[in-house]
Amino acid sequence: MTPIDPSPSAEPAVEDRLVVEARGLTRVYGDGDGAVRAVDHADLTVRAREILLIFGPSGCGKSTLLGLLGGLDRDYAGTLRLFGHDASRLPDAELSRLRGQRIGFVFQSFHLLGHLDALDNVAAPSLFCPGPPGNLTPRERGLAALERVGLADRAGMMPAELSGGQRQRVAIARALLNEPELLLCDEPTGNLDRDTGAQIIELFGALHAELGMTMVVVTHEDRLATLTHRKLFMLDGRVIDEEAE
Amino acid sequence: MVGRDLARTRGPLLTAGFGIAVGIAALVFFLALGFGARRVLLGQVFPIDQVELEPHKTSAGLLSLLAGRHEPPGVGSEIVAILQAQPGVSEVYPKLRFRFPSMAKGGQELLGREIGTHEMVGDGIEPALVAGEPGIEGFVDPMDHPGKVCATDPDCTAPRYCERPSGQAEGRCSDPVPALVSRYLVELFDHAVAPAHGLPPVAETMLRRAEGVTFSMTLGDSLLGKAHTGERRVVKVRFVGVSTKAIDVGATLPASVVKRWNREYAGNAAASRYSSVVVKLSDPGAASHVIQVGTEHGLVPRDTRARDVSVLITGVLSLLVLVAAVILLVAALNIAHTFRVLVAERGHEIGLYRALGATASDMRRWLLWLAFVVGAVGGAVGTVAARLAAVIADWRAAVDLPDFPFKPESFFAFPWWLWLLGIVFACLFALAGAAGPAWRAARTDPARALSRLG
Repeated sequence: MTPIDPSPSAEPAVEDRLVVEARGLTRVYGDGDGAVRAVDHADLTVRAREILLIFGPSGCGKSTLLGLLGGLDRDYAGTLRLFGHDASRLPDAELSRLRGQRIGFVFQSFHLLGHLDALDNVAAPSLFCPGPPGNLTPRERGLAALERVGLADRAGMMPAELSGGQRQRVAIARALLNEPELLLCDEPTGNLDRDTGAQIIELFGALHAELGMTMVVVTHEDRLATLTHRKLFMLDGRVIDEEAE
Repeated sequence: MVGRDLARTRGPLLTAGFGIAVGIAALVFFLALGFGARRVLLGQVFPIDQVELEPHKTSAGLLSLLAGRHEPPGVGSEIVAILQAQPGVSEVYPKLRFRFPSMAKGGQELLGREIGTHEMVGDGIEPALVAGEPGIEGFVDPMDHPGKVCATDPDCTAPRYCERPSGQAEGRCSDPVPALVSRYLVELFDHAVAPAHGLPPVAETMLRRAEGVTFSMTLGDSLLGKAHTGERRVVKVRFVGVSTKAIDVGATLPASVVKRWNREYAGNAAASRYSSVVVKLSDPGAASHVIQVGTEHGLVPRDTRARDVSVLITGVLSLLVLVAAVILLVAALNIAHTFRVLVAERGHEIGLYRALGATASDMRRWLLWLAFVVGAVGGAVGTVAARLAAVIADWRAAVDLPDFPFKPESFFAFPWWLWLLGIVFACLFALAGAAGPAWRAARTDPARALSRLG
């Protein structure tokens, strides 16, 4: 298999480029009578620079779908193309590189490493993937990312010393470290109070305006709809409706 | 990353590393003890880097009496050439046994009174056989550089004597003939002869003094009788050192000297056929092949004690190594358990690393590096601990154990590669223990690991 080029390929119109293209995407847990279709023949596309919001009740398969779109879960049926590459055909090393360099994740429970301070948490992806070309060291890039989310002055603090909102900002800074083209967010405000959640939504809006990255956000938070270009509704693993602004 | 994890997980990793260190300490200690025992027993008592072959002894019984003098079988130069051509053989040194009666006395300078033997046993070896051995100098035929013509000893300047073969009116002044004795003989003297006669032992410290002591040796006559040919005469022999190549009991002289004297007292045949050959081995594993070739030509190994001791040491060493291997196996299982728990506890962390771009092999490598560092540190600590234990054991042995023949200064041998072996083995066992968990970490489903906590 020919190694993929993780850098963005030159195409005529960025907005027309498909970042994600899923057809008949299906994820089944278990087998036989106990099998659960967490994602059931989902069809969706995500274009460059757009924000796609995936709505649905708890347990409808939103997070599972996000895991599939990010290449974290490879045990699926159907086809999934990421940045034009058939994800099922990419070897683990190539898919990991794609994930490390072109995709950023933000999780509901932040997933910060408790033994590292904020800056080292942000710089953690550099352990596995080289960042974008430039003269900055991973820690310098991490500091810049922390500055972008307004936490440069908290760089040396441990996660346990930060509030929930600050932890999520650190997690967002970590996702931004390698300047990804696609940001996948799984209930990013789910563990935050209303005011803090509003600040995070505002931050997403600012980051999108500034960096123009593609975002797929799984949520049941209505306020995120203010950012959204498209909304997608899921129920029992199926995409049942789609709205575009 | 590995450095941080070592600090984070220092408790369990220290426990795992301790197990490895104990196992490696036991392994290195036992191996060093085995090598030390091998060095003393096979290096000094029964050297195994060489095989001495001699003609198969056959008893002619009463027939020999009817036939007159018994002519012992010898080793011809053609057999020497055959042995020299065998693989694994570096050199072949023929030996010539004294074929004439002799006696010796001397030792006044060293022991305060003359001692002697009425039946002297002697051997002749090539000087090259002991070339380079520490402490041995001047082991050459003095007639390589003969002095002036003489008729009697007073014609020569002391300590020279007149080397005048039987039946000749004149001889040449000669330095005393250099002689070597075996360590075995020194030990025998110190622990059996000296106590019985109230003589001081010729301990290690006195050996240097002993070198240069001159003995008088009578050729052609002994307690058991005179030589059939040749005249009784007295020569001077000077002790020049202790060698593992020397005959166990008796004096060992340069082969050319013995050849001359054998010709003088026992005829040409006694000078042309060797009594045995020492085959030096470049590969100790070639010993059995050399013995086989010798057997095909009517030769048998003179001494099988080395082989027996070697087998004994190997057997005991194998048992001790087995004990160490069991300890290491338990340590490896402990490492496996520690790393299994580590992987289980850090499932979400592994999932996160995968989400951040780590490959499955990154995760495998991460754990294997951790195990490698634990193994390397454990191995280094274990090896150093083994060395310290050896130093303490040697110190206690020097203080507590009574003096005995061949008592070494150290019972242990630590060749450089043993240090390396300790660390390499520790790493291998640690890696073997961590291999399963590392493989499991590589197979962690990141989506599931993250959702478990999410």
